[in-house]
Amino acid sequence: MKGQFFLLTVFILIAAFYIGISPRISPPIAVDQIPESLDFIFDNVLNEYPRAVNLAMNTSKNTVNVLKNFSNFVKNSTDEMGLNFSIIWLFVKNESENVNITVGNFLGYDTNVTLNVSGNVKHIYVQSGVANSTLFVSPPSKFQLVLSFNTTEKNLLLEKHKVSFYGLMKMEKEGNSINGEIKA
Amino acid sequence: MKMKGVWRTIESVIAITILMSFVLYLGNPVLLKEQVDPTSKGYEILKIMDSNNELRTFVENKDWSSLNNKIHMHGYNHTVEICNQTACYGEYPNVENIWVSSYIISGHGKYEPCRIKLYIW
Repeated sequence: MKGQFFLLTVFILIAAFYIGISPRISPPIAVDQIPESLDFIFDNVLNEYPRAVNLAMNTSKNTVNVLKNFSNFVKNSTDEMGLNFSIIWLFVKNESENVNITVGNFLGYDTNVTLNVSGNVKHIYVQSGVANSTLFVSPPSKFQLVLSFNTTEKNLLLEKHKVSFYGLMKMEKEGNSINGEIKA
Repeated sequence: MKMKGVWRTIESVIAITILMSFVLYLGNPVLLKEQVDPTSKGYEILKIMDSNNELRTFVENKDWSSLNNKIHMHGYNHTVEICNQTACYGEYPNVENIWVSSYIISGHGKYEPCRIKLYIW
């Protein structure tokens, strides 16, 4: 019977030890706020930018200021969420037969941007958090716009008498990143 | 009688196995309660409400209470804050382990960017 008593004693000791010590060794509840998902916010902002453009055009005299304000709002909100948000956008609008192109730089660093409108090339230096504009004189009704900055180049086919918005957006978190284009 | 030693040996092995299992169990980080992330559900709720043209009216009127009452999440408590560029309207829960589902809008009828925070616990 000694072996059986031995086993029984072992069981009792283990149970007593576990009951006595487990509250002290339980892992602490990890965090107050658990970080939000990257893809949800990216999807949300990607779909919201065109709405912001429409609201800006319909309710404001200065569309570019509204777009800058919204970009800063998104930046501040995503900073609070622990996300790294960046965007560079173009706002294209005709002025009579000419085309005004505004570049909004929210990449987090100053950058040189090259705009090529059907062979007519202009270079703009845009500081971080700023929007700069340039005018292209009498482009064709439908024109090719090539946007170049850093190592990125994008080709767009646009209409002169149609207001257009284009954005290149990126969000990063904990080594994961998502890139996307906004067209409106 | 010859088998006595064998049985005692077997019993010792079983006892040692039980003790070692206990020690290994203590050595591994263990979650007492399985952590399920409801933020995806929270985001889907806000997105569906926006698709149904329900969300923005609440936000425009800063009616966080009605918005909160409209949201149903089985098994969880929740509350809502609506934050524009200057202030937040709503309740921040005084509990540990909060999940947050956020939704950003640019406005409704006029430009007024807001962030809706759905707190879940």
